[in-house]
Amino acid sequence: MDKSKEHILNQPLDAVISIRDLHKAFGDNKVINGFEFDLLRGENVVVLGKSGSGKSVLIKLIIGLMTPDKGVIDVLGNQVQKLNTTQLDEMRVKVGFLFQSNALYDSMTVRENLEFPLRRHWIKKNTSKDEVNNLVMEALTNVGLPHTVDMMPSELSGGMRKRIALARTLILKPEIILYDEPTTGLDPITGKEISHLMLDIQKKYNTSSIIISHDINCVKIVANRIVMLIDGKCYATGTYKELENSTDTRVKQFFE
Amino acid sequence: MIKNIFIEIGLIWRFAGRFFREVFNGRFEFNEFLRQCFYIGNKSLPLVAITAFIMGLVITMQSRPTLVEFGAQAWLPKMISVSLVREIAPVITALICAGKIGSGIGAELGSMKVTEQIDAMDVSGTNPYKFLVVTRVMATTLMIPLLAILADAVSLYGGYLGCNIHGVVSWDLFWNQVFDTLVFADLIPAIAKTFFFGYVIGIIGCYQGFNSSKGTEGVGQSANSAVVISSLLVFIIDLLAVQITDALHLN
Amino acid sequence: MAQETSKNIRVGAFVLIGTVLLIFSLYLIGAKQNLFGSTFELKSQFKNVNGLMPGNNVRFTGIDVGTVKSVEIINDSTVNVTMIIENKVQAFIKKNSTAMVGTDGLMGNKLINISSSSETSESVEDGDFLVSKNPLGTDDMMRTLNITNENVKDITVDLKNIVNRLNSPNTLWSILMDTIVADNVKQAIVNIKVTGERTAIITGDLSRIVKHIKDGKGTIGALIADTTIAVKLNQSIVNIKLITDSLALVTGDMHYITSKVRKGEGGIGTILMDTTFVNNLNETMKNVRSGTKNFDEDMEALKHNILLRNYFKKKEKEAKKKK
Repeated sequence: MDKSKEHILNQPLDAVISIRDLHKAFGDNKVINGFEFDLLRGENVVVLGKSGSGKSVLIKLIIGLMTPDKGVIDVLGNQVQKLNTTQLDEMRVKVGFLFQSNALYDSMTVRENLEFPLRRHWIKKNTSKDEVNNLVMEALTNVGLPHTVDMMPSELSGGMRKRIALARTLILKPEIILYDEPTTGLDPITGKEISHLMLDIQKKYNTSSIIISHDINCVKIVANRIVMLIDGKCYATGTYKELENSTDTRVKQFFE
Repeated sequence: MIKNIFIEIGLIWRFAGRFFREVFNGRFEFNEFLRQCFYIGNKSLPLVAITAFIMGLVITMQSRPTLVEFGAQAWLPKMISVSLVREIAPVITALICAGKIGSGIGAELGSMKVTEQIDAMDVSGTNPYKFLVVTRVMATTLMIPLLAILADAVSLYGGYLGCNIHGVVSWDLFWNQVFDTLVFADLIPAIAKTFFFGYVIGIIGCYQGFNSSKGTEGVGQSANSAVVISSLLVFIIDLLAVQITDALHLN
Repeated sequence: MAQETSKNIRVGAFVLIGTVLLIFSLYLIGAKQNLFGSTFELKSQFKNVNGLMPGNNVRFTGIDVGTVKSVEIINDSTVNVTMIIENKVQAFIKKNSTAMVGTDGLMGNKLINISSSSETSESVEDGDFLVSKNPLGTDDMMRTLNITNENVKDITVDLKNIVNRLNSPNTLWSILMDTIVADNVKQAIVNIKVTGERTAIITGDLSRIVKHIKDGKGTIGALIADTTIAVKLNQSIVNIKLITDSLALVTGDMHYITSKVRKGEGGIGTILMDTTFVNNLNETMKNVRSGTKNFDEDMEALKHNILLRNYFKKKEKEAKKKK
């Protein structure tokens, strides 16, 4: 049996991501220090934490952009750190990642940006040009920007870029989406639009999501459950209402 | 401090070595390679050509008084053809490219790194090293020799004009003398070393970009160190090249 | 998409132009080295090739017809040179042609000159050996020139010394130009002549006086008694001897100088340098002059001596009678 598919202890049956005893340090700075967590199918979990508390590191560990010092990350039944390059790519088809800075390729048009993951992941499947075009237009329609298809990313506003980036993430129809601070740097109205878009996507494609954020307005809209990442650990977990009414000062300060 | 330098050299070495593992491994990003060839080759040609032309002209005019002193101005085409083909055209091309392409790659990959585009590629199932580094290094390695050959031609044309400013050397006589003087031992080592120049310029630019630290300042630093380090390495390779050709008795 | 295609076309054009240029120049260089045309080989053996290298040109009747392929040492005095020659000149190079290592211009590359002989012969074939002529290398010329130069250097150094000495005082010139010395010499010679004549007269006279004394004529007693005269006479004779000795010395020296000068030997330098000699010469001349003068006076005194007065008077009378 594939080593990466070993079963993890205490894993809930409908968990898509399970993390056990995760450690990651940069020098002496222990960013993740014994973090444990399960993401269940179809739920939106917000990871709340201060800047520099290792939230981004957490989702980069999940997607395999960083390797943990210690611990197990199980994504859709695969142990991430034990996957080889090909297996990692296969896993990444099912896990979308929305970068904080959008990471749209500056040198490519919107169409090329959206085609990029398609070409990579589906190139073996003899996808015809029309099919690719249809997928691109569908993804763009989902985020409400079909007219930008031949524009360059530099011609777009911040909110539009975020939507294009989301469209690029969606084009592979992932089961899990990891959002890295999706509303940071956007005005509150645009932020709210993006937050609603995320909810729409969750409903439309039945995706499970981990959302890194400290924007409490966004959290309020999208979160089914909140995980407090404090001192590199899962400090507290609960719904928005539960945590809002928490008596713990370290939890409370996020909701003021 | 010294430890950091060694670490840096070690990292660059491994980064450079990775190129040879990745280049033969898996599919080659041909379209991206062509795109880079266009930017590195065609887009650099005007700058390289102007510089080479001026160098050819200036070197000729500067050498002339010395030769006239010996009454050997008839040797002018011979002398400049050797110095231009052997040294000046390849090195000028490499330095211009280190400045233009090296900084360009450093800044481009640096900003891609900073805005997480490189991570995004990784996530999109594309090996960013293959997509970004292999194509660019291949392009510089193959385009800079071509640029150097064109620079040879253009600088020799500059030399021809330089010969005719104060004296008269016919077009036929000039080229006859040039090709009379040049031997394979002049042209081949000179072209061979430009492959290494190109490789180094590409690798250093990519390395600096790939390891750019966060922020716009980091991007600027990447571009800057890409130019500085690759220019320095161009000279070091040039030094090695002259010693190797010397050891092979090709001088 | 159209944009992409036009980019690709331009990259293609760029690569094509560069590659064509490279191939073209490689072909041109290769053509110069006879790598692509049809060729044949000729060989020759030399004692010394003066730095000939593979790739150097081969010339026949002043035209580049090939290149040197290899230069190999066979033994300590033989170097085998293989040349690649264009086929089209094969008919013109005869078997009795000679090969010689030469230089392109004064400082140019080495090359092999194939020169044809005046006698007729067959054309060469592939792999033929050509007779070699030992090259008159620049090195040899330089070596000869070096020896010549050394000699010229020595000569100029000598010449310089001579000129310096000639320019400085106390030289032959000053001897020759010094009018005092010349006058002295002249006068001395005149004096010597006069003295000689007088000596002859005196000795003649003396013999007559002695004869008179022998004959017991007149004043012999007085003459014998007069010791002062005897002493004076004695002195005069000593003087004469001294002068003649000096003269002999001077003439000897003069002879020595003139012979040396005439031979044109390097020894002239030493004479010219010898200022003491010149001074001596000068002094001697003065001595001779004063000596002859003294002798003259002595003779004059002798003439007026009482003893001899009669004799001289008699002689005067005889002279008058003869007139």
